[in-house]
Amino acid sequence: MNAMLQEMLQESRDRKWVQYGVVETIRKVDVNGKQEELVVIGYQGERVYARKEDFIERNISSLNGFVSTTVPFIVKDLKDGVVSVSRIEALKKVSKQFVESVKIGDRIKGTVTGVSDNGLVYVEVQGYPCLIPPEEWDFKRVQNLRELLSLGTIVEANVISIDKLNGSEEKIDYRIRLSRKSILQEEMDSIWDNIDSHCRVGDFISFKVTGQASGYNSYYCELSNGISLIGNLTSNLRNKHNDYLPPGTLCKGTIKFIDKKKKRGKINIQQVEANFANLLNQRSFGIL
Amino acid sequence: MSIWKTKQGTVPLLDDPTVEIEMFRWSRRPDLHLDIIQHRVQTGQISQLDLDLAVTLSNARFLTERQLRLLYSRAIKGHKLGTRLRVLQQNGWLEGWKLKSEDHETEYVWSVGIAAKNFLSYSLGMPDVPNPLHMASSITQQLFYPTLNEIRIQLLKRGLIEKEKFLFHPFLSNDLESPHAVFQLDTPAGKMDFIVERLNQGQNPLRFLKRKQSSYRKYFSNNGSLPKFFQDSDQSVLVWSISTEEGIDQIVSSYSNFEQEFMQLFLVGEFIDQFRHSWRVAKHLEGNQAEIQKFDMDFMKD
Repeated sequence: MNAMLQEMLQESRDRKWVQYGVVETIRKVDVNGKQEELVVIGYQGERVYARKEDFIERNISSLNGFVSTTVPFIVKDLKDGVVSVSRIEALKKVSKQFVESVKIGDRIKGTVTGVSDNGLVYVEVQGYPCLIPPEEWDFKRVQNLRELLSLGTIVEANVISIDKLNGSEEKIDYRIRLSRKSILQEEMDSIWDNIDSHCRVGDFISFKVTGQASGYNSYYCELSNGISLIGNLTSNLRNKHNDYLPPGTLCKGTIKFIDKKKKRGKINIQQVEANFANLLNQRSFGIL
Repeated sequence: MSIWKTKQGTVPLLDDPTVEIEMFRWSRRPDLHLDIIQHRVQTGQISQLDLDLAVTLSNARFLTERQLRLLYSRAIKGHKLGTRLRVLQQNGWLEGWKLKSEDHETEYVWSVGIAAKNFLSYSLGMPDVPNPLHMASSITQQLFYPTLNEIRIQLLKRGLIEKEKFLFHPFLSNDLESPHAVFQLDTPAGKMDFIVERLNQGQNPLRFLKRKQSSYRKYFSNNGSLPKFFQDSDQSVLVWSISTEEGIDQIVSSYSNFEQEFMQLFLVGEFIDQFRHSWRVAKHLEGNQAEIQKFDMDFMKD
């Protein structure tokens, strides 16, 4: 390690500055006869090290998910060119700064750390735990979000409320609620404003059925850019599929009309795509 | 007409009009969204074996647990398969029914569930996957499927047919209602289509036989032969699948017009394990009697 960097890290240790590095690897090492996990963080072309108890408070089985992510740290010790750091201490500082500076309406990025059974999403923003209530995740309630949303996913959301927790037993002072839906709404609005550049009447497009709309032979169809139009099955497909398409079906069809003002449109569903059909090419299924 | 009994004096479970049927329930509503099902297939929560089971059940419509255990005995141990079937039922991948009767041990019948139906139809693009809702609404009328599948299994086990040579409800002609099944056998007399009609004792078998026989007679008198499904077959044979020999006796003895203008065989379910010896020919005799003779399919292995 060069002298200048060493001096900088010493300064950083004395003044408790927060630095940022990228997790390079998780290494198992032998410390005093005990197997321990060591997080190797790349910083300015050199490596600094964090022990598991300095890295995360929760007792999680694997730290592999942190590889290639940027993490804050504070230098704890510098001995013989080996720099040991603490992420936990850095997070305290960073999250304190975050809580002091965050305002309602701010657009922030965070990492999903958990999803409850009823669809409440836990997001860590700069080390501070925030919540996305189920109704603020999407326009429609996503069933079994817990299974579909992977931990570690980066999400962008708007801050919708900051409530002070008085006398709470929890470790945090503020409950910050976020809304991903409002960001989607903004994106939708901007797409509808420039709908001609995204899709036009007569375009043959691919989309996903998200549910059955009210009225006979009507389905909500979500395009790849996120906007929803109403789709109708053509008569031959209606007979083939017995007037039913389950949510999640991938289809193709032609846009019949688009009303930019009312933000609605219609699609003629002409093809039902079997997106897993290649499974049948790999091997044959079924004994009978 | 009394209830047909086997030589042992029992009523075959799948042909017992008094059988009690109970559908397996969900402990919670399963997630049937196609995205979730696809995610489970991709992540291996629904394995290749589960997919294979669903395709098998889709082709077979219904199978008993005993039949499934036999078919998958090389892939998975019987008790493990039993457990897996119940897990898959809870996820909506399969549907299960419990059949109870006085004469027999409890048997379970399985078919595809809504999750598998959606995945096979809309993600794999497989045609003709049965709709579990339709099947569940008329389960008592569907119990002939496992019995016909037993014939299919016996034929496959003995290497007598290829698996695509057995079909349910094939289209034969505009003048005929689709039969329950058809299969093609390579016999010493050439390739033959076996048109299978099932006589269920809970569904007025005599009336069914009269109606079907009359339509086949009509077709035979107009065309000089029975219809063929497989174009390379030389001729067709009409097979009445029935659960017991007593059933043949009761039906043929009470139907004076039962004649053999064209070849009609009975395939008796109670002897199905000795497949070669489970075929019968019957004749109506005067005084409301029936003559039943064994028909030896000597080209089949024992």
